[in-house]
Amino acid sequence: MSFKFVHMADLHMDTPFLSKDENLRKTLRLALYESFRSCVDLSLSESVHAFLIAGDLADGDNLSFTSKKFLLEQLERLNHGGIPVFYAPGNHDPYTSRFINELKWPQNVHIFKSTVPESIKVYDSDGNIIGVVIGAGHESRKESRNLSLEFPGADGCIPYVGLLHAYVSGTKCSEGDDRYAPCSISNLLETGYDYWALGHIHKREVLCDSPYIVYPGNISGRDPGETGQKGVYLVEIKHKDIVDAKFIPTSKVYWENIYIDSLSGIRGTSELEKTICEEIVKSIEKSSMAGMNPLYRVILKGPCPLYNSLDCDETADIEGAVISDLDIKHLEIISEGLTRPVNPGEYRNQPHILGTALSLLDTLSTDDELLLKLAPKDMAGIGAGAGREEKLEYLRSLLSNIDFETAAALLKEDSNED
Amino acid sequence: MRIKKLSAECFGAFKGWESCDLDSNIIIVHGENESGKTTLFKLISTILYGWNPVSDNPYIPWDESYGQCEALISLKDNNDVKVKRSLKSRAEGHVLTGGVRRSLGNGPISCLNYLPNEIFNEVYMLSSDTLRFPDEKTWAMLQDELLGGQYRTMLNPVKQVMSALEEEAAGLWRSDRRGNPKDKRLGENKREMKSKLKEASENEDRLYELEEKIDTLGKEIEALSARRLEINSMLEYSGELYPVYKKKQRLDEYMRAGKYGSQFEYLPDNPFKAISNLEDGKRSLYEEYRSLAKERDRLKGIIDALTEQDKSLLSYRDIIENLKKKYSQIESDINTVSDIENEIERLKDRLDYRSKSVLRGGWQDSCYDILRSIDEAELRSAIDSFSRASSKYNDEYARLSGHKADSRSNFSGALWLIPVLLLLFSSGGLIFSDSTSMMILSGSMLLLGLCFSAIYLIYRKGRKSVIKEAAERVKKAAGDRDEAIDGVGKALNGLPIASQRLQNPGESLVVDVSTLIDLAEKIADDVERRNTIAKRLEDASSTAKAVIAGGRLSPGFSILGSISMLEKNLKCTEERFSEYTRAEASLSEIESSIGNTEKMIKSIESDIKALLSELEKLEGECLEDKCRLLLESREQLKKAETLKEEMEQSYPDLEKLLYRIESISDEGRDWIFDDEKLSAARISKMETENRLMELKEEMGSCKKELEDRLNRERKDDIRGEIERIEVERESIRIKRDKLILLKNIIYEADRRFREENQPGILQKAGEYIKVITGGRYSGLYMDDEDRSLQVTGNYINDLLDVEKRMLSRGTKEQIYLSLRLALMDQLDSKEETLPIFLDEALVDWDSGRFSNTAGLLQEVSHKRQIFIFTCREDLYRYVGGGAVYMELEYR
Repeated sequence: MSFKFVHMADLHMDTPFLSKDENLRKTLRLALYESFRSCVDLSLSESVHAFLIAGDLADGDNLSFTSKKFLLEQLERLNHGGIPVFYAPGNHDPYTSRFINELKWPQNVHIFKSTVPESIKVYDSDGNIIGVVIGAGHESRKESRNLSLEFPGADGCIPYVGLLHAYVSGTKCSEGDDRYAPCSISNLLETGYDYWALGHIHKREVLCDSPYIVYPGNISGRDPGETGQKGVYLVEIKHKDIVDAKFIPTSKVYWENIYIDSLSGIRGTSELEKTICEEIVKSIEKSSMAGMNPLYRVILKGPCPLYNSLDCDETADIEGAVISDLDIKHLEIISEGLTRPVNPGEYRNQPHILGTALSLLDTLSTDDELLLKLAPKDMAGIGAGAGREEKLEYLRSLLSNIDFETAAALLKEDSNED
Repeated sequence: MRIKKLSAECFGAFKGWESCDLDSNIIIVHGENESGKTTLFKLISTILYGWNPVSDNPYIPWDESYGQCEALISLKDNNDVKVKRSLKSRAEGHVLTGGVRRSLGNGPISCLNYLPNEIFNEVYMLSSDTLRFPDEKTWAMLQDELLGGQYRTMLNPVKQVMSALEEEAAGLWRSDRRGNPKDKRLGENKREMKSKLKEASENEDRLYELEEKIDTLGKEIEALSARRLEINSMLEYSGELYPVYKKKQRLDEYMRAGKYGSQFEYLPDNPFKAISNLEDGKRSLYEEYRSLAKERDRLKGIIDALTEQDKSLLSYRDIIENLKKKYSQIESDINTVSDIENEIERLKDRLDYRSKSVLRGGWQDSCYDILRSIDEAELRSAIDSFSRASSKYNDEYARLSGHKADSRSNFSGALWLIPVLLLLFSSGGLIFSDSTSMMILSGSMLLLGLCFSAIYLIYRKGRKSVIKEAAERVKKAAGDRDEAIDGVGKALNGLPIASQRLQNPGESLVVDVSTLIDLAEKIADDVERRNTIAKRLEDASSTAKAVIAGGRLSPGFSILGSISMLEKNLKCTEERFSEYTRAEASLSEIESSIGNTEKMIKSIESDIKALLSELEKLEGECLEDKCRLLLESREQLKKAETLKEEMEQSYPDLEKLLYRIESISDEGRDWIFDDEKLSAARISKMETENRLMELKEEMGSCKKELEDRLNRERKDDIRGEIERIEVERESIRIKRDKLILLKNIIYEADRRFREENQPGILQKAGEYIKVITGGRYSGLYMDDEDRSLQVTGNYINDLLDVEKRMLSRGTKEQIYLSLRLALMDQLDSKEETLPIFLDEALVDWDSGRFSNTAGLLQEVSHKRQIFIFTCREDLYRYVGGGAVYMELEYR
């Protein structure tokens, strides 16, 4: 008898979407709901034996009224279908969270309310044990302990599935993420489990395929940083060592970032609009996600004659025109990366103020004292109580691309440009 | 650069002017005031930089429309170039180098392209007025020029850049609370969002409250609905059986009360009323009997009323009817006779009247026949003959009267005077005249008088003959007229016509005679008609009289009155005869009815007697009591029967219902037949329903509020907005810091660039002032902050501000000359060494410093040509070694 289950993580219900566009926020919220509904649909249609949630079901301490209603409605559907739900709270929704303790969870929901792992047996319709789910939850929003160490080893021939919201160090996908409940792949492998259902990293990643150690990613891209298809893993452990794990997309909405950096020849907004259209069309043609709704973010970079003429209204006009032309759901154009088409290198060491300024910039990269001396008197981006190193780090970050900006400020508009 | 020759075809006061050979390092241009030194100064500036201004240039001579000048210039590569400038309709310039001509337009010569005209004027062309610290704009240009100014076409001014950066940074974030930078605005947005977040949080709490309330309300509604259902089912049960139960109770009561009446079913429904009805019937029959007897007597009276006279008159009924039909004719005849007689009288009156004017003695009956015999045509012919004869007579008579009148006229009478007068005058002439001519004239007149006398006598005789003939014709015409009158009398057949009418008969006589004939004939006709009608009236009168006599009636006053009387009597008789006939027919029927009525009266009297004997058997003291008791009992019984029928019709399953009622009573649930308890149950039901309604309304309100609140802004949405604002603020702050850092970097770069370039100039200037002042002042420094020049020297401890300190004008000019000499060394160090022009620049200097300066200029002239414009003749003494002296004459 095989053990079949759905593995999902990082739903992040009630995520505050950072966008000025109210429609986009609504689209993303509904996409998140719809994706979760699809997970439940999948579980019911596939008649799985368990539904695993590897933490961060909610984004905060509590859920909104609507989200609670929705969540309970979906869990009730699983309950009605006889599917047990295993939920291991993560750093965003530790088991001390208000909603976890206040919500009247359906009977089929089991929440791992302890950092000490708990083993739950899973039965088939005939009452036979078909698997064991071992899970643990985060106690606080900054769980720093390695919870995987407490997980017991696998025993016998029953499939063992570990359920944990954790940061697996030493992997490419987890770079830059918060190091909550850190562990290593070897920690996980030592348990001898057949499948590790992890959560925390929003980018889908199979850390190991024998046995499987899987981050399914979040189920719906919340911002332009969370690109690509989003969904869950449908896993079937037919026998020890025979594990079939398949990614199933559930979100109808996905983010796509398009970088355009060859804009030095662009002379007008209509030309820019055309270029953006062409790049999006190329992206659509390349995409394998037909029938879905891509949300585009186009990042304009590099030298462009329009570097200082694209204000909010102008950008909004281009966005509107492209959305209308290509019939896409959303487009955001980021033009902050555009620079004046100048080459600062040409002016270095020349007998004028710009030459002196560029030389000074070279000095600043190594002369911390001078950098501190030239720092703004009251810095807006850093607290007044910041230490020297912190200040220096901040100031160095400000020096990025400043040679272009120096040249752009000092050079007249009609001076030689690339 | 060295200017070797200058010429002006037309420039200010210079016309066809040419300088001497200027191929020297120092050129002293001497001339009195207004001799053209300043004009020459401007000419050189024009040669180097072009015409300025182009329009209304003050150096176009007032009597010319163009300007033109040229110069021969030697450059550092030892090549000579000729520069020519002209200004006519437009400013032109060209340079000739080795036979190659190149246009300059109105721009500077190529070796001066790097140096703006303003700076050239400020640094190289010096007068006592320009030896001061340059104005701010020129100083800035000069600074830029010195500090990389050759890139000014490419670079923005540093101050402008810094100001723009500062302004942009202040638009993003400010450390003070002033202005409205973007960060501040976003901060306000964030505060608004936080306020909204609070509202959203309260909204969430309210949503949970509402959900709980809806849940509680739902449960309460469910409980009350169950209670209402129970009451409804009980009331429904009661509603079905209770009416049947009540009717059954009433039915039993009626049956008990109607039991007595059922024993006397054979009696009439209302015995008392039955006896009363019988008595009424008897009284009615008696009334009928009396009425029939009265009618019988009346009919007998009618039969006896028809008399013998009536019967006799009925025998003349046809004659009377005939007279009745002729009544109108008779009445008409009587009127006609009267009318005819009136007409006859009227005609007779007219005949008499007419006859009096025509006939002698008026009308006589014999005239009637004579008139009928007169032939009217014959009479008219006779009258016409008379008319013609009478007319002829009148004509002749008139002619006679005319002749007689002519003979008596004045002219005829006066004709005799002519010859008489002629004879008298001629006689007089003959007698009294003594001249021959008069004699001749008198003789002529005498002859003429005699001639006229003879003519007059002949004329008198002719007139008398004519009158006589006319009188004879009048007489004959009178005879013819009398004869015609006789003819008229004959035509009238002896009718006695009045004589005056016969003497002058005319058409009127014919008319009168004709009228008399007509009137006489009409009278005869009317008499005949009257007689015929009178005869007819007489016949009718005789018939009426005969009938009146036969009917033994009194005759009337007239025939018409008799006929009317007969008609009236006949009508009365016929009416009486008609009544008689009807009465005879009705009398037998009436007598039969009287018999029948008598029989019926006897039968009713028998029935009353029998009923009274039966009623004696009923309970009660009097007859009325007995009947009342019986009727009451019968009424109850009747109600019982009606109610039973109604129940059977209304409830087809009556038996079952009665059985269920009995069962309920047996089960002890007969409270549902208790009005009081039922009323309490209904009140309870109403209260339950009211409460349910209230709860449902409350539930609806809650659900509506819930729906409304679900659509309000969500906390996560607002949090997203707040976080977005924070991200934007952070980005803005970083951008602001970056802008300030950039500004600081540019400021630092500018400072460093100045430091690297500026000191050389000041050092050089210090050396110059040291030479000029003989070592009193030896160093110059620039204060960047307040843009001032400071000087130091051998005997000065501190730096002295050149402008603020009380230095003499000459000293200040010496300092500024030193500064300019140093500036020009710096400016053209890598370019053509440009000449310097001093226009009365050294006039206020003491002789020592003047001498020092002259020595310095000698030294300077080794590398640059110097033009000194002066009116001082002694200057040549100081700098004269090798100098070219050019004298300008007063212009």
